[in-house]
Amino acid sequence: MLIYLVKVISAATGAGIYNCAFLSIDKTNWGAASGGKMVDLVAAAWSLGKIYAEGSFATGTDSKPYRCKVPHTATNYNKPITGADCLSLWELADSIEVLNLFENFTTASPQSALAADDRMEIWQMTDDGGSPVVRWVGVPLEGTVRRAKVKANAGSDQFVTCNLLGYNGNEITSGLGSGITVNFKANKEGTPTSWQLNQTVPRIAADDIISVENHSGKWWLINNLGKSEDKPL
Amino acid sequence: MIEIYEVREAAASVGFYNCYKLKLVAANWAASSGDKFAYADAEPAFVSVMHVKEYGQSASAARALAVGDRMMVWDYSDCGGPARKIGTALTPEARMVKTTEGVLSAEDNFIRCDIVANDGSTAITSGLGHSIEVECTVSMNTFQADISDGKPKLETISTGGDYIFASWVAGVWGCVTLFGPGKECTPAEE
Repeated sequence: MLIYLVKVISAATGAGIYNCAFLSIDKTNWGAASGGKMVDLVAAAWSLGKIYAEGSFATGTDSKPYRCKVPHTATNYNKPITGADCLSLWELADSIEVLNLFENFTTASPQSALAADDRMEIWQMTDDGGSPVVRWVGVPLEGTVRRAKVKANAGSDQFVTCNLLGYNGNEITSGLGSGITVNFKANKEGTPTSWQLNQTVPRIAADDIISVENHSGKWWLINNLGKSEDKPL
Repeated sequence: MIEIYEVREAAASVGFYNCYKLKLVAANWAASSGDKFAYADAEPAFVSVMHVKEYGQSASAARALAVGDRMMVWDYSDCGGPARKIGTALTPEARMVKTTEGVLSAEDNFIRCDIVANDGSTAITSGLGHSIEVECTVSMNTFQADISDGKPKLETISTGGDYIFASWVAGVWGCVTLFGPGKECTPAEE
């Protein structure tokens, strides 16, 4: 069984399902002292006569990346994507659907646990359909505890809006991973028995970096906050 | 091949769990919520799986998993013997837990909790994951802490029914938040 690396492009239809692109090892950056992307998007030219193993990659005549599904020797008959037999040997590598196994069970109206450009390790699993389909499933390389940047001072709610920090530490300001709703479970101590984020100490404010985690489709602040005796902001 | 299993109960050996095998449900692939998996067999049978993260733990160590947790499982060759099933958990690093008791005893540095299950909402009220001890680290700040016997006391951090976050590390569940002692025990007020 081969295990591949992919990066997340966008959310797909279905909770925990993502459109992903395969990554291949970038030999020019292998062993780089710092900053090198040792894995990157596929950019290897197809080569006549080359022996392609399952899991190898090549760029098609449409300039898109393809993954070899069946070992073969390259001929013009199986050249991606002009060869008549190419689709039995190659599949498009920049748009596959992958289930994040950490989102194996999600609540109603779930929020995605992954962000654009997150990396995953994936493999194939056959589903239980009448005509079984081989699906891609996997787990993210990112930890489940993420850092996020708060977008506005905490208000009289039990949630705050944040942008996740991506795999490179940069704030994700648009698309998947931006504008997430981070929830907060109120401590029942004191009166009233349920209180809001603008009544806590420490008080969460815009541009704070907080630790968050996605549980079954909901983002949570993982710190326990105490109740402030100050008036709400 | 990597398969998905669901934890049902602790097995007798440390780090081992009795699990049911799951199947990927085609009809749920594109569903907007719910479970992507179901039991693979109509009458599921226990399969013993070792959770590799719990290697080397003593018999008194806390269990890391709860009923309903899912694991990625594969066969790993025994030395000359049959292949064994080992796996890693598909659980968040910081687990949401629900406190089951209120103000702590002055002698305790832990609070008893139920782990919130894999469905994200149900606190486990029996079996594996029920009534775990979550160790709470108390700040040694001498202005606030009552450390008259050399040990800080944990007071009024929580009432029963609160949700806090805990992580399992080396056989111990610990709260991810550092606590101060309750205001009730500041020296200035005693």
